[in-house]
Amino acid sequence: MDIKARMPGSIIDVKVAEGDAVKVRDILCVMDAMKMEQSIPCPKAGTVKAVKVAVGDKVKSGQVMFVVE
Amino acid sequence: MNMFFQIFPGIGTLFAVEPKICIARIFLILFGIFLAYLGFKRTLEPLIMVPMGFGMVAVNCGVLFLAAGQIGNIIIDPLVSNPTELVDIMQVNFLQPIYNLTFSNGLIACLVFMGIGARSEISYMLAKPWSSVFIAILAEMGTFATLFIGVKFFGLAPQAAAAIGTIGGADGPMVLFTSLMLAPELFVPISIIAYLYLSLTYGGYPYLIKLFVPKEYRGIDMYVDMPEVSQKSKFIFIILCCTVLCLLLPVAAPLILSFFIGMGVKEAGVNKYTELLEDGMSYFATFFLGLILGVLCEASTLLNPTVLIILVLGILALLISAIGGLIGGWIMYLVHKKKGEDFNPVIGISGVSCVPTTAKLAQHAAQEENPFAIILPVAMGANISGVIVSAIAAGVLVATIGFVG
Repeated sequence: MDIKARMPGSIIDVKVAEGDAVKVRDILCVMDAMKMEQSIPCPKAGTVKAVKVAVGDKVKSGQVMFVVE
Repeated sequence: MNMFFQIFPGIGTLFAVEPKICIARIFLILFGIFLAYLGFKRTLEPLIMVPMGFGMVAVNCGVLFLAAGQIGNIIIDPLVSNPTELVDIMQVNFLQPIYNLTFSNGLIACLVFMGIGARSEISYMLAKPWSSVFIAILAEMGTFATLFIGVKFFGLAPQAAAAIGTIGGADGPMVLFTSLMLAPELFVPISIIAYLYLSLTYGGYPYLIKLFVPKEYRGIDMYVDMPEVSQKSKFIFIILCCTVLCLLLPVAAPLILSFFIGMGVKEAGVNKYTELLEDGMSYFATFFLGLILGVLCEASTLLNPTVLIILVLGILALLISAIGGLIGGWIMYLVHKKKGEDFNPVIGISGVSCVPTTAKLAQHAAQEENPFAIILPVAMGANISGVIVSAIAAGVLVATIGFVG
């Protein structure tokens, strides 16, 4: 499942790495959108297959940030 | 004892005036310290409250015996209007030039507004234009309700009621501008109370949200397709909007120009200007705005009985606007439900255009109930529409208030 950014912003913290096991609601990363810190929770349980963003990256709306299987 | 008062006039002057001015001064000194502290703790917006608190303290402490038996300060004199006198005073009072050349002509309000424009992303509004504008219009209810209540129940002149009503528009620069044009004799208390209340919305509005939107509805998530609007389309939209609004409301042209020039410069990608407006100028203007508001809080200026009326009407205006916005949110919820789409009614509160505070409040409220909910983009759309609608409302009020009453 592709975890996409729902709005434009920048990544201030990445909380998981490739291979990590994640549960529903685990925080994947923290984004800064419009000077507001947003914690992005994981919508499904599984393993992190890919981490496509790093701290400092600017993301666009719809951009894939993580892949969880 | 007399010697002591002469050497320390700040204290001495306390005894040389009427008791009520003395008490008011002491109260304002303590209040200034309190406000600055609340700004420090981030309970209130520090950008305004810290300089304002300091200013309030200084102007009420630093009073001395001037020539010809007068009592006053050498910081500011808000009532000087005679040009020759003004030029003389500008060489003595250190904040007088800033006051007369940027504050009382609305320049500082416009500079802050340019900063707000430079930070506003118009594509949020273009994602859901009709919902955004509808909510923004309903959120303007407070302004007009207060105008009516002020005239009918408090016996205010329509101009004064309208100026106080703009507090419901929740836009600091707008309130400054309108009160300068419509009720200049009240603009000091109106502006101070407006900025105080606007800082408080962050604390108070969440309770209104909880009151008007039950738990199950607060966490509604919305998947909105942000349309791919080209920079060219956005830029053309911005400059055309500016054109039309200035043509229709020339009396609000300074505000309209400031907001759209901020947005236009950002959309045109002129980064140096965007930085200038968003950072340098905006913070310069906000700092001096806070400072001037503080030093205007002189005991004698605030001992005006109308201040109590403004305190009441101001809260009413913001309350009614929030309720109006939330009603708008609910109507949009029902409209979307009919189409089988989701809409979070909490977004209604972002129509009250305290950018971006109310949009963030909406997002917080939603995420509290549902950590996956992202409604910030739609809330920002309503927020920005709110600013434009408030500017239009201010323009309409200034242009037409002469015909009322």
